[in-house]
Amino acid sequence: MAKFSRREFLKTTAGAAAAGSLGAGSAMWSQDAFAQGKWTPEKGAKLRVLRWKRFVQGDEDMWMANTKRFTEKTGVEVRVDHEGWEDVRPKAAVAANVGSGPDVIIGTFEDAHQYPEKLADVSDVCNYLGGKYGGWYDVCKAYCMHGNKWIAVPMGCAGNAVVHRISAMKAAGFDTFPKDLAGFLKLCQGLKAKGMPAGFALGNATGDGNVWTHWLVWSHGGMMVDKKNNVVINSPETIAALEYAKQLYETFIPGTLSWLDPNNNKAFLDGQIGMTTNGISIYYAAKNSQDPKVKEMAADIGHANLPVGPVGKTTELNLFFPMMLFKYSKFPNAAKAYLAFMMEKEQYEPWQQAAIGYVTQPLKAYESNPIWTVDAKHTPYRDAMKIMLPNGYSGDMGYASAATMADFIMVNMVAEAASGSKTPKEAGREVLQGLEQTRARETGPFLPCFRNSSTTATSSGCSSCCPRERCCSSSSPIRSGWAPGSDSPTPRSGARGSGSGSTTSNTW
Amino acid sequence: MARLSLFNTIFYTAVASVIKFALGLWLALLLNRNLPFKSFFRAVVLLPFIVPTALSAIAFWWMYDAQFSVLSWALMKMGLIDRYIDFLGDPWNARLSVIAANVWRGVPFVAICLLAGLQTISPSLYEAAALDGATPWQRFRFVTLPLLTPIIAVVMTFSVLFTFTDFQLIYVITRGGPLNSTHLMATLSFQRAIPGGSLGEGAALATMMIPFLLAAILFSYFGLQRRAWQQGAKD
Repeated sequence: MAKFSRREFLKTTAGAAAAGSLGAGSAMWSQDAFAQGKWTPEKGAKLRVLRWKRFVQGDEDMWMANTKRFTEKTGVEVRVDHEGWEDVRPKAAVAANVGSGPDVIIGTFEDAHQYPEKLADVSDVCNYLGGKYGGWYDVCKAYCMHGNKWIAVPMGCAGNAVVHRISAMKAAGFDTFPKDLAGFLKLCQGLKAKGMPAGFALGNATGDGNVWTHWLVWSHGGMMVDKKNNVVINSPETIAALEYAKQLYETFIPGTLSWLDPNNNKAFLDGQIGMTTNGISIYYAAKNSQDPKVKEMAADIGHANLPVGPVGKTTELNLFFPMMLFKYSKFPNAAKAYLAFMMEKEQYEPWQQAAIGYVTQPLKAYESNPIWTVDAKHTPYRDAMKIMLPNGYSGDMGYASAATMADFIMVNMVAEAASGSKTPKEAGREVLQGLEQTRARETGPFLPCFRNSSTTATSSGCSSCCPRERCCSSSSPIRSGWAPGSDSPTPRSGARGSGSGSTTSNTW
Repeated sequence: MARLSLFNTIFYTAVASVIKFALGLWLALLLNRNLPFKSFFRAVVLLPFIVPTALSAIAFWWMYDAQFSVLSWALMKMGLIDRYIDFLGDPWNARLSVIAANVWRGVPFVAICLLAGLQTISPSLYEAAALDGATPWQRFRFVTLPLLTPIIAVVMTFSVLFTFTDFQLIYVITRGGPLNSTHLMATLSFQRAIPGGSLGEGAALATMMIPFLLAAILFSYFGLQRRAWQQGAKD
């Protein structure tokens, strides 16, 4: 609750008090939540939910069981559709733009910031849950808050950690997992010498590739954009990260440039690699395998958080899941009731347990979920939300950050430098040029912002008129654009009409 | 990146189409002979075309896998190579690998269509040529090929169009990697528009394909169908 304002606190404690202690049963939830007059489902309400397809079976089973319980308690019928996680984003974008589709969509990363004006305000749900369960981790606010309001309910993230073979690590001369970059490199070199090399995805792997390359660059202090959204990727810190990547790559198993998301799982479970980064699904698969050899491997699997680099703080990236309620929904109260119900302790913790911690909680109180301590191998995943940065770090989230991720810019920069197809300096410079072009397209005359900063810009942003509200509402310097209703191009001098920004900066 | 994807697309289309045509024609000529189990072979040849692309792409993805490739495994066992081939991890290997997958899938279409064309050629023409002492090459060059050009034009136009706009194979096998070396315009258009959220840019990339497709159509139309007798006039 460190960042919980007094006002928010007062607003939510009423709900929290009424909801009673954390140990209250779910019957209690239904009485309390409805007693407050919040989220009484509309008459005849029916909900459609679209979510990503499970990575571990227990997740889906328990999610559906919880959904069934919601239906039993409220009479609201809920249909849950499951799609591959990468297919959810396009469907959500279509639903947002067409104004029709599932009431609730559980997407990924900064989905909510791509169409904030299409999403219902769920501040009441988030404030209620945050107040009751120890508050949200900071990264949740970056992903799900637009201005002062919540536009999505954080579901959690698929925690990512180093998955390694304990025996191989010991053979390489390490009793515990190294906590710094030098030790990490040394371990990788040792693993290679022992014939159990590391392997990290460097192909266009949406999850695994993006996750570890972002950590790598961030851990050295490199970043795509600064706080003002200026592109700053071509920095000495990035070059240092790429030099490090080159040394690391030399220790990898051959072929990682072609690796997509499933490759590291397959290679690890086949005993070909001694280390990779992944969700807890490898361990889950080994533990539940029918093959005795693979099952045996589970005991030898260790997990650890990625090391901290020269920046001196954790810099991980994990696959974040926002739950978005769309404004077009005819049953917003039923949907809010559903979202709140699924996030309550009585539902959330058993769900985490069923998925053996595949999803890490966004609410701090759930750190005490026994799933994190019942097996010491689960523990590194407990802190995934605490130690991660948002993928747009350290700038804003929105179209540009999504485009940067979707284009695998970070992955390919690291891959080019690591494989030697470009020197680290060339790789950094090229990304800078590419990003400048991308940013120019994002904010240039192709996509005009229909707001004249000198007359209408306000601190509330302009989400009502412009889907790319970033260019008005953020504090970034803006490239020149066109003002509506004027015959000549009007250079927008800065965000929110402040006129303080430079018109020549590289914005995104 | 758009320029790289344009190069990739043109390279992919040109190489794959030429190979598909050569192999397709060869296969059609073979199948046109009086073979035992003729119908069976003709049906079997169509298999790659019938299998859903996404499924055959997954099969190729496994075959090209850096760790589990059956091709590398077999070559290793035969003692021909000493380490697994990095099919998809090297830009040029990856380009050639996806072209091979595309050829495998596209040859049956070309072969069966050309076979249909071959069967419309009257045997009496071959008999007349044989009586005139034509060699097999001359029979092919002066009887088969001229009579086959209309169908070649149609088949190759379709083949080029399908190849130029290919998406599924690339998306399943490489996602455009490594280092974007196999990104085609269709895959880049999708990547920019849908996961990247820039619908306009994706649409622009898709629209950029139209002039090339149009050029392919016009080339085959004017290049291969200009003989007067083919258009109904007298020779």
